[in-house]
Amino acid sequence: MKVFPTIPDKDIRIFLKELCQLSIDDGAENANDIEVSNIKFTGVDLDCPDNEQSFYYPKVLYKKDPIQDVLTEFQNAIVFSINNEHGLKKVYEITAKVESHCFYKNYHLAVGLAAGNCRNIFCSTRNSCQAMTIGKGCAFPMIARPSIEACNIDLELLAKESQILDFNKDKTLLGMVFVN
Amino acid sequence: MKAIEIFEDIKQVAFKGGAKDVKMISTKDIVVDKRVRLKCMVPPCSQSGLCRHCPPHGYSVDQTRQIIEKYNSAILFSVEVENKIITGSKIGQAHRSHKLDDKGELAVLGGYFLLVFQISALIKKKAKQEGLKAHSFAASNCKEVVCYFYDDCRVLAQKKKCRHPDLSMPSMESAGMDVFKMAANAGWPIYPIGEKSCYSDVPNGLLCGLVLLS
Repeated sequence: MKVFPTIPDKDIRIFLKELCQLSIDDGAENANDIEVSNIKFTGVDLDCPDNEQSFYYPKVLYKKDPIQDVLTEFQNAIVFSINNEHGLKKVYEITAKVESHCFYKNYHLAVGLAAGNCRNIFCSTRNSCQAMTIGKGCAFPMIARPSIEACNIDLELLAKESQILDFNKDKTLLGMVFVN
Repeated sequence: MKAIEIFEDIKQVAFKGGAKDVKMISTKDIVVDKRVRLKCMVPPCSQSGLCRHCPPHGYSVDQTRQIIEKYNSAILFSVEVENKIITGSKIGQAHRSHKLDDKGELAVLGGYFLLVFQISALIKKKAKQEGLKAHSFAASNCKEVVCYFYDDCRVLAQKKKCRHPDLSMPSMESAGMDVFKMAANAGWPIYPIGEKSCYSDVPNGLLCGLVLLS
């Protein structure tokens, strides 16, 4: 384990490939890196019934530092795809694994995004999203996270920019990790 | 008393309080990054949202920058944690469940975090006695350190006064300060430590606090 600071920037390409391979080893069908400056934020809000909303869906309720503004501070990310037959939870698991790997390799600010509404996946039997109650935290810390689409990132454009050519919005789920 | 002597006295307060090392830095050397506060929220830290200082509450990154601009210098200090304590196998689960583990690992680790809060509070008190303005930051979440045995943060849940106004303060990270970079810039070895960390991989844990001065 290395002491901070991070590995030199010249090694980032190798590290991004390592992350793509890690996601594929964990069940992703395709994975590529992307420069964050190429990601398109749409500004289109998602629909979601009131009784299904969570802290992260349909929009991230983090008003003090809007998440779109923060994500653009990153330079590189990786995007992976899985067949939706594997289920949404698998996207969260791969994202968490890749993000965790970044942390232990001294990319301590790496942040992962998943797919869908975390409440439907982890808290479907609860009456509410606990994180939306003032003074309470998330019931599933370290695994719940916003979806890519809740951060106003266009999935089709993201797949295109990250060379995930077999993307089909009805059959493919995307996850991503912002690395550095 | 000369400024250098005042700062030396303040440093001694930190050392006597239990700091491993203390540095006087310029506020220009404080590293603020929007991504640090995001990291408290995505994925959610088990402590996020529990106190008035931790995201989504507390200072926005822009507010932090505005506060820092009002000060000239800062005392940055570290508290070292023994590797076997900070990598305790039961700490992660205890954190998430908000229940103390039967080996007492979380309670022992909590003592080190409390030390950071105490040292920051002592520095602030000393600085004010010397006629300086001071603004303090600690490490972690004050509800989970100072008010652990209460159900909630009284300020958030009951909209009442804080139980420990002298000790309650934001952590450096909750205000958007990149503690990893600042510790590294101070020449202190700091390691990424999580549930997967084994004590044999990590020589020591390091907690940091900061007090702005002018």
